Amino acid sequence: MSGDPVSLVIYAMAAVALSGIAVHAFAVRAHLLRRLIAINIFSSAVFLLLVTIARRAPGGVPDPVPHAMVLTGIVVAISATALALILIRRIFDATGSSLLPEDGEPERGAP
Amino acid sequence: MPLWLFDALLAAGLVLLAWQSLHASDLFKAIVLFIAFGLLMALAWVRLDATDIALAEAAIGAGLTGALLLDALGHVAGEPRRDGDGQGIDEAPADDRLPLGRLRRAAFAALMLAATAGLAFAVWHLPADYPGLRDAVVEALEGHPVGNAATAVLIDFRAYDTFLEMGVLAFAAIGALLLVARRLRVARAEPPARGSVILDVLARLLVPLMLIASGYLLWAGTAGSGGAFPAGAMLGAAGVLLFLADIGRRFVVDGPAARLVLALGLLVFLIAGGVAMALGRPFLDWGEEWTYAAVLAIEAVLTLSIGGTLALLYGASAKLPPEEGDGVAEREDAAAVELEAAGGGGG
Repeated sequence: MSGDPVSLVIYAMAAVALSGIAVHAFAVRAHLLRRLIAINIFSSAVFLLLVTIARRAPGGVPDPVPHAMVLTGIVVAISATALALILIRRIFDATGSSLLPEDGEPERGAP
Repeated sequence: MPLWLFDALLAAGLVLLAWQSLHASDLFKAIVLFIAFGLLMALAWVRLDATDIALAEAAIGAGLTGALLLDALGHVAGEPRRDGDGQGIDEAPADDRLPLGRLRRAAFAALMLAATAGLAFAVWHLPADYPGLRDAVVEALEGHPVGNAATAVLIDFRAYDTFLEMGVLAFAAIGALLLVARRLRVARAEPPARGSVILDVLARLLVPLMLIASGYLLWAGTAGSGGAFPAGAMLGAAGVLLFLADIGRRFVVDGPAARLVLALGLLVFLIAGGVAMALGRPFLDWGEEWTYAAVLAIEAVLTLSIGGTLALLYGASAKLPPEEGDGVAEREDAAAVELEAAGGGGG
């Protein structure tokens, strides 16, 4: 891509929209797997914005520093996701539910 | 077709898939849509001239994350379980919307819309031409033995960042191993897809190719697209396939060798940095004549460590025994949680 400004605006606005719907879904949805997907989509939105910003450099070559950040970020995100999934399984095994208790609600599995 | 039209379709597809994944009533559908979202993201990375990221995303975002999520869904979406008293514990409803009420829901949606519009406004007003650190990197790359700017940034210019990032990766894996350690004494889980001929044949065909591809990505990464992160992601995916097909499970099982692989990412930076210091240079400063050798060696070890850690993370989560046939341990766990809850005054 030649750093076409129309395309850059399109991807930047897609990143903004993705972050909005991800945070919204994180708040209104309760299943922990769904919330993990929301976190992952939000991090994808951040990565997309970073790489779009890196692409603004004039002259065809993008700024490699955000690229390096996103590369490591993707690997860190997958390892955090794997850890979160194991935590979700432990929560499910301990309480029989994949939802966290709401404020004021008694702990699941408690007497 | 003008290319911006393709970009617009791709961006619209990304947002649509994300929305459907976040609001599909069926979680299985949500995860499959999320995998498709990862594939489209890989396309977007190519369009943004970020091929290294595209390669890593294709292996991780579209492959490993999906495998992990589907595995976890199989664990939490089984038969409704019963607790010790035989009293049913309610399953997560397919529709997991929080009971907020129409007014609060609308108010929150309006708030999010306003925040998103604010973000859009800020992004819109970013300067259109901004080189960032690009020119500094291009200048430093003149006569530099490593041609791939991202690799040079990762292993040479900002090696300290990557060093600490390997620490984050190692900590995530240690946390995962700690969480499954207690269950392992109780029961050994079998890999989920025993006896699948297709999987077996596929793994035997694909894993050698994936190893070659990983090696190629590693080698090419010093000059062109590739590098330790895409190569490690490919290696991790090969490890997951081995685990699923039950061929080389000993390669992805927790043990002294696996723990060494976990530590390798940190160790290689410490050792290389120590050697540099012994030779009178600053920590993680390779010196002109040694840069290429240092970058290639560190990348090779990082590939092994990243791939091994990803496979180990998958193996650790897949090894949690299913709920059936493990009732005693589960009740013990539930009892422990109950005790904790009562002790903390929360019960």
